[in-house]
Amino acid sequence: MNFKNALGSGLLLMLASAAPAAPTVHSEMDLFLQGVTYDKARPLAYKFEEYRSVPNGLYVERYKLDLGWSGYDLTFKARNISQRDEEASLSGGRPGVVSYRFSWNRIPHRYSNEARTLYDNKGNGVLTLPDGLQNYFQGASTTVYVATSSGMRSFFLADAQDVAPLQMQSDRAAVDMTFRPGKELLVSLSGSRLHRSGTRAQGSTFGHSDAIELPAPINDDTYDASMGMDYLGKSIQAGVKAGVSKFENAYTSIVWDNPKRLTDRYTNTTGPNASRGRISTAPDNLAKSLNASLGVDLPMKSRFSADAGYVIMTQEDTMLPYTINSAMTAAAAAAVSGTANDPPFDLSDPANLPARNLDMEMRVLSQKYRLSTKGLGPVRASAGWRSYKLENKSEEYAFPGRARYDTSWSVESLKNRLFEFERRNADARADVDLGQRVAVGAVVGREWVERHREVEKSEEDSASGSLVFKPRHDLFLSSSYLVAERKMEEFEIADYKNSAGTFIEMPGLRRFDVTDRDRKQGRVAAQFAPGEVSLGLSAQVTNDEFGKGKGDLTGGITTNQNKMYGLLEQLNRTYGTELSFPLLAGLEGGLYYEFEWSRRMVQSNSNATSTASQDAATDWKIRALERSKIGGVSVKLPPKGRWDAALGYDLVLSRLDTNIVEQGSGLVGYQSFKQADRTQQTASARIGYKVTDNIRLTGRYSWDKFDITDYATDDVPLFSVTGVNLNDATYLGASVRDYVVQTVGIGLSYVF
Amino acid sequence: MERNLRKKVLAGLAAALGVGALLTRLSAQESPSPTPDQTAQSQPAGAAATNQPAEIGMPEFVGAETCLACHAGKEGFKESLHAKVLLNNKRIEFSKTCETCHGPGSLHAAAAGDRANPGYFTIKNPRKVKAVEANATCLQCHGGGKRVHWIGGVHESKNVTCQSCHSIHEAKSEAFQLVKETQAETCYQCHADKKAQIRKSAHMPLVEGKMGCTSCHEPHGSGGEKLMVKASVNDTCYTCHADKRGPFLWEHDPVRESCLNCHNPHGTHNDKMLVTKAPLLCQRCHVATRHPSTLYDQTYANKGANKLVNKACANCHSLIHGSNHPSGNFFAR
Repeated sequence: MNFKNALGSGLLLMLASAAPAAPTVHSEMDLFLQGVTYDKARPLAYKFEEYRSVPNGLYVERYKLDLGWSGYDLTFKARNISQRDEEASLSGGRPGVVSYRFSWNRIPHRYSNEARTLYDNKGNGVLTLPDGLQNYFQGASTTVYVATSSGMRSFFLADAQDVAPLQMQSDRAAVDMTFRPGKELLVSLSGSRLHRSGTRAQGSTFGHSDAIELPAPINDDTYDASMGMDYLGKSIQAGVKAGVSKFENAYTSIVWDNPKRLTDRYTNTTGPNASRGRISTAPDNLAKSLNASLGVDLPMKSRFSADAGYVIMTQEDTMLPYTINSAMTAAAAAAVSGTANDPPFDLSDPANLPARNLDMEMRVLSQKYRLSTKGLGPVRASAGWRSYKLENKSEEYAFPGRARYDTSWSVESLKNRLFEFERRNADARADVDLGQRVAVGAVVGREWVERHREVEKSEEDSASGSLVFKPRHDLFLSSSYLVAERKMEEFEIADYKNSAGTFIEMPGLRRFDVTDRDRKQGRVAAQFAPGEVSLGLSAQVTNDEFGKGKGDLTGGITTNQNKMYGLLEQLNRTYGTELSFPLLAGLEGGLYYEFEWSRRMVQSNSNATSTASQDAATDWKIRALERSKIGGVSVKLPPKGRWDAALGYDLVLSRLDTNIVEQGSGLVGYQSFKQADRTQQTASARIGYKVTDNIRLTGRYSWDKFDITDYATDDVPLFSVTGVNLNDATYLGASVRDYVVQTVGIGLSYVF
Repeated sequence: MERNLRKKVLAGLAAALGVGALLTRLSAQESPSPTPDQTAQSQPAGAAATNQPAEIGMPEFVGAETCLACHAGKEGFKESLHAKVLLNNKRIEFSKTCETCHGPGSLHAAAAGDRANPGYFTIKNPRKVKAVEANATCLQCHGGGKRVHWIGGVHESKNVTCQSCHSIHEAKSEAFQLVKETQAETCYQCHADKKAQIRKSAHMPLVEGKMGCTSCHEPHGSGGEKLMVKASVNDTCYTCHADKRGPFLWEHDPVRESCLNCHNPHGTHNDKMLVTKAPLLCQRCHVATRHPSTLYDQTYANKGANKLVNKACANCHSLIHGSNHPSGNFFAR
């Protein structure tokens, strides 16, 4: 459905429901003439228009039409007409009886203005290179071409053309309707189509080396439809809703040419053997859902509420062959070597797969129940239970191995693991009003999690207390403190071994999202609003410490290190304030500021040869410190006579320090990272003048500045320098860039 | 550990109650004697009509015209969505709308603004009664649908009132009769930290007005966690990101458990709203030997190493949300 269809349908519905009386009509339009100038030295920035369009020229920023007659309403609204972020809606009905809304919302998402690549999109997700280029490199080197000549890499990129901006566009058309067939019944219907199209940067590779970033095409649709009915009784309310969501991807895979080879070949080693690579994409999928809710008023000012939902998610895409490399066959292998890792069959033939189509299914059962009461004097109490169970009913497939990066066969006994989990929560809370000025509250809870992972069971106990104090009508203080302890009951060491019984990861590992965790969290907030001044203060501290819990960190192998690895600690602090106050001559001032500070400690081991027995000499620990300062000031002149005006300035500043705080004696010459900074500033001014009751003029100006210093993303090269562990990567050069943009506009608002 | 927790909890609760009791005592000493409004207006409208002191008498309905004689500024209510719904759905004419919520106003009107007159305080002002009572007025009509989980929910238990977010008499927002111009500004009244977070360089298009807080959260209470519109964080994310829904042939377990393991949807300074920069993001878990646990440092960055710059680990493991390829168990195909 596109917007024209939506509009047409809406108008038909409007005419069908129209009453004969003459309608009242009201419409408004904001027309802007705008100029946008980029700093010439920094023209490539995309972030200024990341999710929006800032047009240069004349455009309609807003149009609104209201019609009303005999209790019926119809409203048409549109913003940024014909721009990349346009939106429109048509809504109306008879308030309280029937309503309908057709809407159209276009959201751009720009990724880069400067991506460069030689790949040409041939459609169907196939990205090609000129044959001559592939042939040149195939002839020049059969190993790593950059290793032999960085000049070749330069040649490879010499003719690279600018691609159209890497960007995605989301177009959502939706219709929502409600009507009341009876006084206590409400029926709702909704449907939508979300279409996404464009090009984004996608990583791909032909091995541990050879990362090649691709301008991958996007073309998918998500269709949603739902129908619900609610009973809105005085003391009982109930609802049921059924929905379906279907995702369709135009591309089942992305295929790209290998810049190092024109023709497929087989060797028994990794390397540039494939002339093309193929990577899977997000599969078509379907989700069907059913939800029911209930609320019942009970004696003693009590109430019971419940919610239950069931979702079935399925996916049946065609299974892709092991590889697109047509030379990886048993016959080719026999002719070359006859090693254990030779392909047992023609790997590119779908007939050799365990199934032609996938049969994947997950089911989610969610439940929530809560009993609450206000019948205990000043105490408001409630107890609740919630569970979320995800069952994996997918088919389990056995694969005799995998085609590594389309270049070689690796004999492995692989099965897709059917991950599933269940989370159950119980809590009880009580809030007590101690007089009119003080309220205290307490919550205790427990969460149980069972999952098909290395930690199969865990429990978390939590307790929190809160205090609200209102000593005066204009002063409000609140605070809360939470402690929580998560403990794992079991730790399955076997999950860290491969099929040969060898550890593939260190037993000492405890993943932060499942391991033992002590959490402490405190919050304080105050609000003081005497007269026209309003001041708010807030602070929050959260400290997570991750521990080892039960189990032997060595996995029973004494040569293994008895150490925790991974995320050890995470500490976040946030302090904020907000102030509004009157200024001279009727001006209103405002200010907000927030300071955030976070620290993460990660420990690991850089041993390049052993999988289980780590050497203390190669241990390392990194501390990442991030500080953010976000604030703004504003001055506003509310409408005074014919004039009104506003000034504002916003600043967002962040700094990341990533430092090596410990390194073993075997790690020499390593350097902490350069500081990474991002600073965003916006200064704006607006002035309005009411010419007549129908005409209003607006002038506005904004200055936007963004500065970034980031070792990873502010100047992404087109290719990497070679060396040990550095590889020969090719990127699109889609960097996050600085910008300085000035925007000036003059607007005419007209009320018809 | 468990014992320590219990001790901490008990100590914390005892301290909170102690402080509460102390503050109660202090506030009782400092507070002036209850005024007539604190006595009378703590009652709901219906109760106000029946529990008046004998000398005041029972208030009666007088109609909106009488109300507007003094409260002329509220005349705009006649054109509001609220007034239209009352008419169409409840058959309540405009002349009766004021007293539908505020209770019968004859004594209040007769007081003619004289606060010394006890009758002045017989009208119900939702802003001056307890949150429970203020909300009860609204829930008479708005109890079902999205409000099924309101009572006992986190907002209700924190004494948030309908008036905290909604402007009852006239719309200040384009939709939902909010007290602020936008949905986000309304939520920022209490959630000021989110106002700052969403301005970070990697954020949802909320600042640009292309989505709102209710795209993900249901402030009236929901069947899910964190007031999510769906049963879980992931289910909520799938409403727009259905490409991440799968199920995939190869699942990445922490991704399926919670998107929040890696992303902070309220905004971060790391691209893709990641909670920290890769490869450290991945090294929080992946400490196996060889390349996942290699100490990548500034010297790697200087040379454009593909495990550090640009997308770091995702330069190769680009299908980190799940792969559908038979050879994709490491999410590189």
